[in-house]
Amino acid sequence: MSLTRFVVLVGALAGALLGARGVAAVEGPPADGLPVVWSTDSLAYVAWPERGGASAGAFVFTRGAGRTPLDTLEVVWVRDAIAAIRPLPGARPPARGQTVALVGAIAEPRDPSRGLLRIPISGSPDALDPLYATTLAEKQIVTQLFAGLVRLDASLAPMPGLAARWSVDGAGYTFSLSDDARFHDHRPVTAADVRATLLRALSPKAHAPRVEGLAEVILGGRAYHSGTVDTLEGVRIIDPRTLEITASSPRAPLLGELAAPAAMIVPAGTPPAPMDERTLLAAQSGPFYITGTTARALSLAAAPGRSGGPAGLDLVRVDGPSDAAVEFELDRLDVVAPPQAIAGRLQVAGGVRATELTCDEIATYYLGFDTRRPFLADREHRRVLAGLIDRALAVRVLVPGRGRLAGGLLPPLFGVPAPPESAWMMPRALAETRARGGFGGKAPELSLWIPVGSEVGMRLAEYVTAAWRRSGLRVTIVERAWPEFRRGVAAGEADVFYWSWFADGPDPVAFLASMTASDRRGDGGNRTQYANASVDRELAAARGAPSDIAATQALRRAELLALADAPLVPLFHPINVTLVRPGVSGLVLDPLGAPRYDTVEVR
Amino acid sequence: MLRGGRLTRRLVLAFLFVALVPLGLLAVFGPRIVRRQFETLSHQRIAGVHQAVLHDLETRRETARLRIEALAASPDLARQLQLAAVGGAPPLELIDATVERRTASGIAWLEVTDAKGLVLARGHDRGAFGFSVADDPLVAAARTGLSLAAVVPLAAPDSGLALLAAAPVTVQGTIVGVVRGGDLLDRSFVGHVHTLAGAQIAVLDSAGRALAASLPEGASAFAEATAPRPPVTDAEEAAEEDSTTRIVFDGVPYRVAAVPLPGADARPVGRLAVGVSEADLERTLESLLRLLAGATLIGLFVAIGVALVIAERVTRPVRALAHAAQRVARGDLGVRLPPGPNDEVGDLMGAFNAMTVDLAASRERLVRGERQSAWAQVARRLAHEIKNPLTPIVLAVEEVERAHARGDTDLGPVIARAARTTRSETHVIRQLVDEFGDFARSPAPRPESVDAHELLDQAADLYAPSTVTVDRDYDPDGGTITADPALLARAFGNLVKNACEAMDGRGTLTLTTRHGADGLTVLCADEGPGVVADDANKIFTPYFTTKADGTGLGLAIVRRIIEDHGGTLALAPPLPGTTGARFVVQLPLRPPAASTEPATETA
Repeated sequence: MSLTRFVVLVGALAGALLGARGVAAVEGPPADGLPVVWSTDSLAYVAWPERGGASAGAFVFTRGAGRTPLDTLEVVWVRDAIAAIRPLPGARPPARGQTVALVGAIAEPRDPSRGLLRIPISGSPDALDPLYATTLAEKQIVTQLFAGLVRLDASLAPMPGLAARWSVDGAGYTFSLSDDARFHDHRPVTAADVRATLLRALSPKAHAPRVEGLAEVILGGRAYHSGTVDTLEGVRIIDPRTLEITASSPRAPLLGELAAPAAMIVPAGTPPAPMDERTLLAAQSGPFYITGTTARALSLAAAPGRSGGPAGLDLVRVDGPSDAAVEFELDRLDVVAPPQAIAGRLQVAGGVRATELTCDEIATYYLGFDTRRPFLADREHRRVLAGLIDRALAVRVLVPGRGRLAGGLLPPLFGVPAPPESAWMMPRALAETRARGGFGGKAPELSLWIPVGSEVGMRLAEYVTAAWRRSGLRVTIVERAWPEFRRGVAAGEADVFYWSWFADGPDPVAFLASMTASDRRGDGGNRTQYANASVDRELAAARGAPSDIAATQALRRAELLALADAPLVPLFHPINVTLVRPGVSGLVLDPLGAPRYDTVEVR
Repeated sequence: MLRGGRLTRRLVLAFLFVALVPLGLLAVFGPRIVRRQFETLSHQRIAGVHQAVLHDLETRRETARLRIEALAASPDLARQLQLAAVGGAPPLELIDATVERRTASGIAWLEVTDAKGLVLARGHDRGAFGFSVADDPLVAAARTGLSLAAVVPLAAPDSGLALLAAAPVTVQGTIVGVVRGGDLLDRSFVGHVHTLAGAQIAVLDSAGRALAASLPEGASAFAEATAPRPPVTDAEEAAEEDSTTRIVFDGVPYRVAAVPLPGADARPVGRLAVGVSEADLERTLESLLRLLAGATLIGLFVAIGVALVIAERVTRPVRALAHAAQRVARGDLGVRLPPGPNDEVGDLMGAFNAMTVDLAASRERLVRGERQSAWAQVARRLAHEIKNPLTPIVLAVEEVERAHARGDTDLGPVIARAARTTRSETHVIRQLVDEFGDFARSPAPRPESVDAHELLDQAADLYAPSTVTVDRDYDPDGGTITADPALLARAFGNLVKNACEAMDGRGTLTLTTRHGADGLTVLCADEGPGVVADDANKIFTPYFTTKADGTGLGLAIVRRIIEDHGGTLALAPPLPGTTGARFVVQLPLRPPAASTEPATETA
């Protein structure tokens, strides 16, 4: 679902919300909706009294089978116990006997006294359904709109989410849902919703890109995900508010996977496909909900009933760090992660010193080779190309203060020691010898793709192409807007590409598997389409290892195998240096790159 | 007009010969002289371009040196180099500053190295750093404190030739780095020189490969034309050797010369091939040659015209004299020439006129005498012919007178005899007179379709006595021709009568006809004594006869009639063993149209 599609529906809602008219608060939506008592060609009449929250300008929507929202309607007037509702342009009035549900949360305007937080978002987020979120920007957005049973704090420790608490017994986890766990239409989140969410996520019909880790950690998850069984063995409803999830093994990182976007809870009945906008509006359960969208920003408002934190969140689109810095300097952003070169100047812009926050992110920026390309399918060619790059020099010169040289694929925060470079990287002199004259004129002209706005990416691409050209290779830098960049990489149009991988959780196996496992090729995270059965075996061994030591050893073997095959060249692990405008406090950076903003105070 | 004017032709040819000598000289030597002048001009032009390019290169060399020295003196650069020395890597600030310095100074190629020759930044290639150029002679010189500028071949990833200067960056007398930069001898340079010098230019490396060219398609031709030649040992040859080459590319002639590009060690690292189009000179030359050819042709035509006019003037009185002489020769003595020019020819014409006057007078006298003589002869002949029949008449009258004198009573028989005799002889006289009259009249034929066989039969019936055997051998295809039947009957009658008389009324007369494409041939052969050889040429002459009582007009009349029909009458030689005469009449199928116009002359 693209953001632009929100304009039709959400734009109208936002207009009403942000307008002067205001909308009356609703005290709890009727669980079964409002029956239509009469209907004409232009209006429908529902039994919704003013004391029940009905007011002119409020919005409702019709529900179809499976509680799927159909059309949006506006309350025209309220008299006694009857409200007249009018469909928005393009929709028809509901027929008599049909039920009309309230769009619950929209009835609450943003409270100016609680402030508005303006956050930059890079790239063009496309999927707002958490099950289909793959990019960092999408992850950053769905983290605000949806919630999982648990979430991870800055130290990656599991914290209560929609589940107020849980108990662990071996591989069994019993979750008790929070009393205030509700969807934004005020419907309480139930154990059935949680089970339905996990079933939807792992359904083979969903074709979800990032659920391999989830399938691995839930008992019976892989069998269900592969379609060999019809039930998810490891999920059992104890009561409407209690749920038991059995992990595939006592060491399986179940809580980390349940904190990932793919496991964020959506209402039962949500089909195993990307949600349409109306379904999405009713399915949100996170700290914020979407109130509107413009070409420049996505506007969110605090979820109903949530106290503290900003009343609203504007996710402002920016084209890279420099663009964000300009917006920050123009006082259109409250938070920015500026390029190192201007960070100092920006910190004291306007005579007010911004607060600097630093966080080592669990991510790896790398140069990927598309192994489907004939020339790059040859391991030796990839190793030579990798060997020509002086990674240490490039990172030291081009990513100063913003990245640590990647010793391997796994960020150091995972605690897995990186293999020595000499164990996997071809010596530069040897690489130069083998690459001389562009592999003796056999090398085709290569394209190195970077997304528009990635300044570090452009500098690294310039360095890498200069190094390769010195060996007689022909290489062109291709700069593409994010959607085209992503599509081109997926379609195999890019020979080489600059990409990053942010961890969804604290599991190093999931992290490494995402980039190297053959079953993660494509949107699963393995963008190079690399496949090595040995790597797959070592990853499986790491996951099923009886001890941490055995798991780490298997993981190191897998990493070394992958590094030696050079489907990608790890460059650096990012250091997030963020400036926060004075008056904004409580922001905690997330090593996974997707902080929640509901704890931020804006004065 | 010139027909028969051999004198005119000779005069014209003589005049043309006189005119052609200078014209030929002009045609042969004119283009050579003009071409040589243009070649000199072309050499002067290429020499000018050569000087201009050399001067431009020298200016660029000096400009590059001054600019690089100015950059090397920058305190900021020195500071950044010191930072790089401390950090062991170029600071990003140095890389960005080098890019900006290159842009600001308008230098196409700019590089900063540390004191050891390790590249720290390139202004034209932001990604190029971290490799050594210590071996470069300019950098090596700068590291010893010397500033140099020279044309150098660029190493990969750059390619081609550049005019670079290098200068040391010093801090308190210590060299902390080197700045190297200048202009590329690339398309931009080529374009500049092309515009400046108005010449085509190609930059060639030491192997003669074209690196840039204002006329890319012609670069190889320029390279070939400026390829180094084996040295000329002979001093005289060396002095005369043309250092330029003329080539034709794409239909355009160029004068091409090489400008050597010495490197830092004064050895050539390449050359510039400069070529000046000779197309304009060629066009001018062609125009001049066309003009020359046109002038020659016009001169030729004028010479012919003048020759004709002069020849006409000279030969006109001569031709008039010749024509008049021909008329005189034909007997026209009345011809008179107009007054001639006041020269020898005029005198000649006067003398001619006097001569013709004399001749006319003489001929008049002669004709008069001849006419009198002829008339006397005719009168004598006529008198003689008439006298013969008159004698019997006189005798008959005298017999009547004598009978009367004798007193014969029976005068009747005497008178009757005398009357018979008189009537008979008078008839002879009348016939005699008629024949003379017929010859004189000679009426024009009135042609119509006649059967010659019928006419021959009539003639045989009328004039051949029964004692003569007529043998007919007629053409079976018939004897129809177009002729005057009366005249032709008379001609055939005369022939038959003549043949019968020749045979004294006994023998065989053979009449033969043959019809052919060109007419009818009639052979009339007798068995008489034939025609003696001496008479063969006279028998058709009027009044010639071998017979005692012949008038001599018979065969003359036959020939006149036959010739009037466009035919011929000839005496064929007798057949072997015979003596008879054989007259052959050749008649066309249709007589020529009678002309009523008098014969005209052309002159």
